[in-house]
Amino acid sequence: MKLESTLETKLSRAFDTIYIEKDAKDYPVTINILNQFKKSQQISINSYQEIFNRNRQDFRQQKLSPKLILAIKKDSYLYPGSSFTPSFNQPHFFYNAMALNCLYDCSYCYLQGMFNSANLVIFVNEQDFYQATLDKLKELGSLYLSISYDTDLLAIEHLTGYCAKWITLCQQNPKLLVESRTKSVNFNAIKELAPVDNFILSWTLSPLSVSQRIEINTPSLVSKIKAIQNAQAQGWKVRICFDPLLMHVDWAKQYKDLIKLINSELDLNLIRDFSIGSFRMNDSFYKKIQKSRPQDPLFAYPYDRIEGIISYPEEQDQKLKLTVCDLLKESGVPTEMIFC
Amino acid sequence: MIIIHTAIHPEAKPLISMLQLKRDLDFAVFELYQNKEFALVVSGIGKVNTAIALATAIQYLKGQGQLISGSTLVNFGLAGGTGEFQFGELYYVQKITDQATEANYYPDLIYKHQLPPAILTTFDRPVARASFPELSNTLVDMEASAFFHTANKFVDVHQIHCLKILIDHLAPEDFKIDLVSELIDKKLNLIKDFLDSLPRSPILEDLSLNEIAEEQTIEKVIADLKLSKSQAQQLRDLVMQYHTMTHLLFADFIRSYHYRVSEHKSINANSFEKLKAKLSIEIGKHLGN
Repeated sequence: MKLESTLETKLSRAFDTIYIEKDAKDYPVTINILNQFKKSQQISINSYQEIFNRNRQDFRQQKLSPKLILAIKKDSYLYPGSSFTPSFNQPHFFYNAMALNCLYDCSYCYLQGMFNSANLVIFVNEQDFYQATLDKLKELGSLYLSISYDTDLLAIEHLTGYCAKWITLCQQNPKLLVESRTKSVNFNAIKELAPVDNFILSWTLSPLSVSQRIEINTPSLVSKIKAIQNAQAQGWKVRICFDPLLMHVDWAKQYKDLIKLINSELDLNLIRDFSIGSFRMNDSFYKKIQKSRPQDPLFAYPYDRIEGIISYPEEQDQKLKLTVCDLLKESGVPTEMIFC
Repeated sequence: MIIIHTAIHPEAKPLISMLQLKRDLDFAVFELYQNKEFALVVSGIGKVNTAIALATAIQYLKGQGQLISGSTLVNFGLAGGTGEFQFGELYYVQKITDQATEANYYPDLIYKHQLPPAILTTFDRPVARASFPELSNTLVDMEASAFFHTANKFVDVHQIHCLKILIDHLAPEDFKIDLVSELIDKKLNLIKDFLDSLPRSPILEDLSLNEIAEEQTIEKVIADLKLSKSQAQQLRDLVMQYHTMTHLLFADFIRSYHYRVSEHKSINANSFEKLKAKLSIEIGKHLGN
């Protein structure tokens, strides 16, 4: 509708306001970011929580014009891996949160149920995260770490440089296995770095119709494929994620087309594995999102609610996953490369 | 609706005139002016007056059928300020600090405007520069923190705004009441532009024509069958599921489906159960598609 474009012209620019914790202002990441947003208003705050956790924020409205918050994380630099995320058979699975929220606006994203705010928080005390990880690695002997759990870290690499630092850390610590999952095409930000086996560059891909209609603000499927091609050309062995699988009109054909595209455009020898998961979510997050997206068909499906988890009914869930697994196998992907 | 709050009548007067507001004499506790789009309440000076006036005016307007949850609340008035701010300039306040409680309040600015930004501190009493030599880079008033705190009980943070015109550099003895109207008159165009930039019906703007038709159909069924709040929610959930699974419009479904409407509650309840069963059958046909 024309109304949408009228609305866009009325909106404030994203990150036109940057809230900065008083103690965060001298960190290199803060200085770098402020240099990139010289026209933005800077507002000094005591703690990121006084912005991020305010009462009565409207996540949907804030997504129209998100603000940036630069903060210091004072504790919890590592969290035990969540049962919602596959551990890929790794015994010591953790994730961290160097940023909260992301640039994109995917309808299915659980972050909109978890956080009160759509504003992006970047924690600038990066060294504390690296040190906590190395301490835990020393304690356990090996560690599998997801760094893009509550955010898309590669998408903001030009602001933080964090992925590059993790790659260097992985080079120095072979027992540290790090996964950065993204929907961005920001590979250029790390293209100068040599591939490292224990840093997994992982892309979430969805069929064209999902990518266009549901993963709002994300780069196009074609651009993502191009970014993966660039990574492969540099020697990176990437992970491809079909997660979440969504049941929509012609879904089987759409996933067939997607896998066909991957087969024709990407080098299968340079794909480390495929990760498959169907749509699931914590019930309380789901209810919160359903309220804020009353017109969104994704939150109207007759899902099962079992032990506080929303998911497709068992029969549909299996059908989704098995169909996509079978499509992968038919296209020549060995079973051991598919995590389902 | 846009609900404006000012502390004193001289701050309100130019806006009353510009927006062609009429005094509502049924609301006698505070001065309240209204038209279809705007309301303006004059509270008197200070945080307590502000909180009481705003809360009672909102409750009153709610009683008149105004949709408060979709309204925008604007605090407008004069402010003192430190030397960084210009006399007579109109500012958009991005951060409000209550000097007594040290609580901070931050409006969410989603839509563009042309006003210069400012930080503001709300004090409990008039402030002279000599008493607070450490103050810097802030406007000063006696209402904004209470306004935000109260407004946020009724609406979301992106629906709360605060505009201030600088009248003195923390020298209350320089304050001249005669100047008030003159200063505001000079900024009326900017105030009007700001008010015009606020979205009037954000919910409606997001709806497509089909969605509006769907909503109207749902409302008609709710009214016809006199559905309770929980039954209405059940219907909405089912319609969304129907829409998701079949990609058909409920409005089209209802055109070819007859439901019996009666004065008897039990007959309506029976009609509703039948409608739910029929919708569920249609949804079931598409499960696992």
